[in-house]
Amino acid sequence: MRITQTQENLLIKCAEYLTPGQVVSLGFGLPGELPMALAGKYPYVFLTSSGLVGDWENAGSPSDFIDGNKNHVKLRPGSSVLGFGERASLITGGYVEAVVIEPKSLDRQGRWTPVSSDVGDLLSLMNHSERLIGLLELENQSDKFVDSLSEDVCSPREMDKIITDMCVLSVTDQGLIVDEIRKDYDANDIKNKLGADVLISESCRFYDPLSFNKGGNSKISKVYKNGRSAVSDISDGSVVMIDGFAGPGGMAHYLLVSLRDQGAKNLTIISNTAGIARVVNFGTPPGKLVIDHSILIDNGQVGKAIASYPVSPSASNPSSFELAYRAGEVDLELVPQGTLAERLRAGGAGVKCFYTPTGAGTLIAEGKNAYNLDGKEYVEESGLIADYCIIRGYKADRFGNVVYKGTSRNFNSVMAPAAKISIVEVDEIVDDGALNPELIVTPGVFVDRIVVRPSDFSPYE
Amino acid sequence: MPVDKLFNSPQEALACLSDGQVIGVSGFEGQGEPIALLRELSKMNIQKLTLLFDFPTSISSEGSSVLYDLCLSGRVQEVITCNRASEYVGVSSELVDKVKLTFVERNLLAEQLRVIGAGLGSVEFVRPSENAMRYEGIRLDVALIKGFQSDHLGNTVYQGTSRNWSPVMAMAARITIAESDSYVEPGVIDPEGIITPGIYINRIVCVNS
Repeated sequence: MRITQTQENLLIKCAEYLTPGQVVSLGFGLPGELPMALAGKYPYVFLTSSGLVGDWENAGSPSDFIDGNKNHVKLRPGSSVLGFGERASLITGGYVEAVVIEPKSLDRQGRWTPVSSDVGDLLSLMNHSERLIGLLELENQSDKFVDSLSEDVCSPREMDKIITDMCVLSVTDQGLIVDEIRKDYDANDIKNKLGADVLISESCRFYDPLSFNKGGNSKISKVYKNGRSAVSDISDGSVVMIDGFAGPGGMAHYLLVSLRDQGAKNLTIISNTAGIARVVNFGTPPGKLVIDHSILIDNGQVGKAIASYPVSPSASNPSSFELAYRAGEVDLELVPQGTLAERLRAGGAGVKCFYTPTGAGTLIAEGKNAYNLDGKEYVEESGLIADYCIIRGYKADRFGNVVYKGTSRNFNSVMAPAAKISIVEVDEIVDDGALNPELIVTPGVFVDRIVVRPSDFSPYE
Repeated sequence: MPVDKLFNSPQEALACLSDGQVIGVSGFEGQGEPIALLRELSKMNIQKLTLLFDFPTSISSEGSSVLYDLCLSGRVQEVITCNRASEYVGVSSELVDKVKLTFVERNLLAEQLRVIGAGLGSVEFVRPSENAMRYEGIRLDVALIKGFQSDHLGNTVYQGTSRNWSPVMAMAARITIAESDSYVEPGVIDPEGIITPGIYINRIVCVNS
């Protein structure tokens, strides 16, 4: 889609109301041209209806990647592609900060109707985003601005800001209010377009559309210099998701040591096992012990575990958690492994509860709501979220996009969206563009902090 | 006996379709449409179908025009889609007379399909929306999806934004039939790069062998 200079200025003004590094969902039409207008100069993360996440420019020739406006685009490094299932989870999981829409029409009270291309996603975006920004060209498209729209065709949620080619508006109980006026116009021009009773804010100021330079040269990097700095703010009582299976693979050993050294107490850990790799000894050199969750338990840091396999497979060789549990020092919530994976996935996708047949009619179902569908019994289980997760990846880029190695993937990828702060330990940070956008397993949107495991660090002690 | 999901033609692959089925079709705004399968579907004499697809805002791609004609032909009783299709320019009023159009919001629809793929009954979201709080899964009898490369075990990858509905529909259908651009030997696709594992796919037709 070709845009005019006026439209480009409007988009640059809109960028002032977006937060660099946060996800911006682009509606059909003018919003879809934001990446082109901003030309990669600012570190925004755009999301399209077609499944693109990141930033891009016009391809100039047919491409495998199409945006919501059917532009063929060339992805900038750090971008990835989502299937519609994953895209839905990203939205309902609350990862979209701002939604930018070009409404079909807008009235004096600030009510608006969507264009047909935007209707499909509207409900989720309205329910799960922080900020809704509208774009409107008053000079060329004044027919979009009407006196009054009937309530039943309007969107249930008002816009937080409306950026026009002449001014910036907010919506109040008394209708539209002008916050800023573009330098070439004055209050009378605005009143001519929007009506004499449009309110002008007391702090209304004039702006020059091209003077914006927000974070112009700042580059996103989520890399922390060491494990200790990445876990420094984990406070007592935090809920921490930790990955790992029965062997040494897939565990963030370096971050576990950092967390032990940091000493936060009374943690609730959510994990597949509660530390059995250390007693199973799989792949461990003789005379050594592998680092796992046990180091936190031995250090008296754990108050509770939510886990699917909390005990050692051998009764004569109990794990640290098992001993602590028998001594009454820690609590346990037992969750079947599939249910645990699904509870994590649900937490990351904004699902409050789901209904699974697993455990129906057994001890697992006690105290939980049951649900019958077509003669089959289901148990109600809730989504899990955590304050932090400490997980293990293979390679990451500075945007937080992560790929995994083999079966070390296990719970790592599903934990990332479910934690408010996701901390990933990787073998290396790769250059921009080194990760194939189609093969990124955990998009950077879900990752907050990355730490490189030191090459001389050993997972055995 | 080794697993081999390759079929020689769309006609053979679609032979398992029958009256009254719920058929999901991948594609979004003309991208990722299984066109060879759709052409074959349009020739088949099966009735009372429920189609689930993302109705495009204009009937301009070949896949969408085949689907649109199919809807007007009387063989389709219901269309479940995430757009208010009846309000589109170019959509004739005949469509509304012939077919029941059911609107489900796109992200909710994706979740309802995924829920079936994950073996769950239903879900409830954190924030309420205008409809009922609890959403049950939508099971597809058949999914017609578009892949980029498949091996004979069914492992499939996609090309760019053509991915769209294919992975989640493959999970939600009893029988998934994939039309892929090309066939590759097992092992060619990096195991870590397989987007839809072969267990979700039942039949494959490769259009460019």
